[in-house]
Amino acid sequence: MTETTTQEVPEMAPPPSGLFRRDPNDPGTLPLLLIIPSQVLLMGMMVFPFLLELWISLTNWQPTFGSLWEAEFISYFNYEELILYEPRFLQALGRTLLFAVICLSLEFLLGLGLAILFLKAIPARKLLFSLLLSPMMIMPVVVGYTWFMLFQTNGPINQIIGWISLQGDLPQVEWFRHDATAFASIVVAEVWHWTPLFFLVLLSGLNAVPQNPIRAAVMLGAGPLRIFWSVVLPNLLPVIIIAFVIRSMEILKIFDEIFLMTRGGPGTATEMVSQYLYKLAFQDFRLAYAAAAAFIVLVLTVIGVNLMLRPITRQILREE
Amino acid sequence: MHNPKQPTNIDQSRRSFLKGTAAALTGTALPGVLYVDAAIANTDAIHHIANRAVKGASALAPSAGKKTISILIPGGSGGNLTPFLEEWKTLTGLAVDLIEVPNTELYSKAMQEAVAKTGQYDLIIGPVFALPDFTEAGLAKDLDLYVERYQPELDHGAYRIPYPFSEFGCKYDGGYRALYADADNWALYMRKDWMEDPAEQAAFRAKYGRDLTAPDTWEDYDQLIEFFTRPEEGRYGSLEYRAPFYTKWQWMQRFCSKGMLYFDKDMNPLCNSPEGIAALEELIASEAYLPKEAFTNGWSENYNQYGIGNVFSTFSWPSFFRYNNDPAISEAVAGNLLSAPVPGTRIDGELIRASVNAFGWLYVVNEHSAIPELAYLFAQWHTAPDVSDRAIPMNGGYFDPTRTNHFKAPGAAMKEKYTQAWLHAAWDQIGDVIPDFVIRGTFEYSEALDRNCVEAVLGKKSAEEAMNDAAKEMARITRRMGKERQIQSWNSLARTFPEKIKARHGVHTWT
Repeated sequence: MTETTTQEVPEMAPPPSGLFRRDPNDPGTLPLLLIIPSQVLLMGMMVFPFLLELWISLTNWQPTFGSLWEAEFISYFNYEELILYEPRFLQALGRTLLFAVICLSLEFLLGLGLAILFLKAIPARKLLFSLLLSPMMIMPVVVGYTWFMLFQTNGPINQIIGWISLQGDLPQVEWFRHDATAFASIVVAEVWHWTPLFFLVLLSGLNAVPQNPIRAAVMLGAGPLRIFWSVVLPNLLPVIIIAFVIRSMEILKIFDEIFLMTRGGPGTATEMVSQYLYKLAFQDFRLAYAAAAAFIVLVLTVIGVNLMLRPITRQILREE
Repeated sequence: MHNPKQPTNIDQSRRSFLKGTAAALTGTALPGVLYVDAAIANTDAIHHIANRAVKGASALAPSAGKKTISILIPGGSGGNLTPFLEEWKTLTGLAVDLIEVPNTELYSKAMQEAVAKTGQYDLIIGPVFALPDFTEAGLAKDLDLYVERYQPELDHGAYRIPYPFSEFGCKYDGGYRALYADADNWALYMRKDWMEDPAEQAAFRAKYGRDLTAPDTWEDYDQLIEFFTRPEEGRYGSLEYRAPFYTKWQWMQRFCSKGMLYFDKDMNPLCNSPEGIAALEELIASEAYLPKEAFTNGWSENYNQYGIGNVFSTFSWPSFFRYNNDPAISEAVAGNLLSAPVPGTRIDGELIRASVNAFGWLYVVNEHSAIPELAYLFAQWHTAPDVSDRAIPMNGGYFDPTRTNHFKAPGAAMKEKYTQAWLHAAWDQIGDVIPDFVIRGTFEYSEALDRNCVEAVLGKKSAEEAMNDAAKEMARITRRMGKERQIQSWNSLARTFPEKIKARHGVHTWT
């Protein structure tokens, strides 16, 4: 007879929860542990200011009323005031949208035209390429001041118009005195400044379009327009969308050029959202009100960008 | 609150009258000499205020935790300060560090300091209209104790800052909050050589039936600028401001000279009164006599353009005279500038003028400074009668004559830069000075008024619509700020307006 002994099984500790449930020998654990500090820091840097800003926007704080910690909680009053009773804010939003649509359309068309032109071998291609890219390397403040000088009543633009005009005399357009001309002047400055970005991005995109479908289309007798519309454009679409997204976010923040050229005037004819926020925050020091306005802009921007990115996200989902 | 010990502009008028009478009786042959106040010109007393500051700073300096006083200054104003920093250091052992920021950003920087409370700046040189905001935001230190201790003689004594500068430039709600360093009210500047040209005089007389002289009323002035406007010769009558930020000041002068205040007793805006609308209509009508650049010119462009010599007149600050009267800067205009009081309006036989104090710089001690008393003492020293008399005429600065001795017993440099005639004319106009919106929320009120004025000037609104819109916006700002508190602040400010204007509104009875 053999004696059997029962081995005592040590009592197991309760399984650790969350991260500590992972087996320390699992090769995925170490990278996770290494990532955590940076993630915590990042979240702290992003989430804390975000929450603080949200809280400020729900108070009536401005420094002339006392310190932030004494500010009265007024719930959604600032938001209600901005949306229902502050036409200047809504006008600035609408104006910014209009400005963005006009500028982005022009920048895209000009950028695309130039990119197509540069696909072919043209004389002094390298030199022209460098020259065309140079505006976007200039500081916005310099661009603003340069165009401010160019659009002066006695400035070179009026001089050129004078030469072109049949009368030959200086027409003295007062660019910054009328709504339409002031708006047009900042559109010109912005388009001049940022068309090179579209040009660069679209040229890269065009160079990356696969050649085989184009050759096939040529062999099948498709004309240039048909090839562009049916072959090139669909391949270029993700690049175009990314260019639009980047520029849209940038154009919402336009400040320097307008500050230097028109200061938002005449009246408020060229006042964009960023000028309006600057006035609220740094002239009137209505910091809570400015925070609420900035939140509204943020929400609208997130919605807008998501809508613009929808074709790309759909494509990614399809591929998955 | 009004300090009963403080001389009012009635006292000042009385004194001016008595002195004027004495001058007429005893020395009509020597008018220039009579204007000078010999009692304050040659006396040791002129040094007492600076000496008290130096003594105080020398006593405190050894135990101070910080030996450098940092001052936030507007860009381009260093000329008044830099030459004196070594002298201050020799006297007290304390260094001074100037932190320069662009003019337009100074208010924002100062308000950011009010929020951040870093104590990075011990002193701030800020615009007078920002004093209420600086005070309400807890930035401007209450100076009552230091004023009591070191006696800067701001509103009394032979070297006082004349009223109303001593009130709105140094006090807020009755307490001392600043040391005023730069009286900055506008005067009318005209081309003396054009006015003295016999052919012009004859043509003017033939056209308007009166002599070609400095204008008393706005009607007289409008005739003058109409007369000198000759676009075919490239000549214009005026370079009045019509650019954003500046236009409101042009309106304020015309409006207040109609016997008006910005608000009534309960702080209801009066800009949409018939007088307010008329003032704006007058501005619009006078556009015909302005060159196109007037619609975009800021102050520096305006100074330079007038210096070219093709415009008859403009309204401007004291530094304008100093700048354009310098042959090295303006060959065409230097020596040919005539300074005159801002035109007025005759109401019931009484001529009311209103010269707007359209900026003006002052020293504010940062509440969060580690060495507030030393900072204050530097400001007292630099604005003392003798030191400021040397500092103001320095090139590359913003400060203009402020204390009584600057006008009545100027030093050689002051006399050379501003001329005795200008100082005399400026002193005589002090009784007509009107303040800007020196109340909490100054930028909001100013912007609401200015933007609507500009929109009317550009033809985007009628004068009546613009003034109604401005009134609505200002009423809304007041409601949001808290009407009761704003009324209190406004009632203090309203007391600094010229006597003739106050009397029409019964300001003395306001409680």
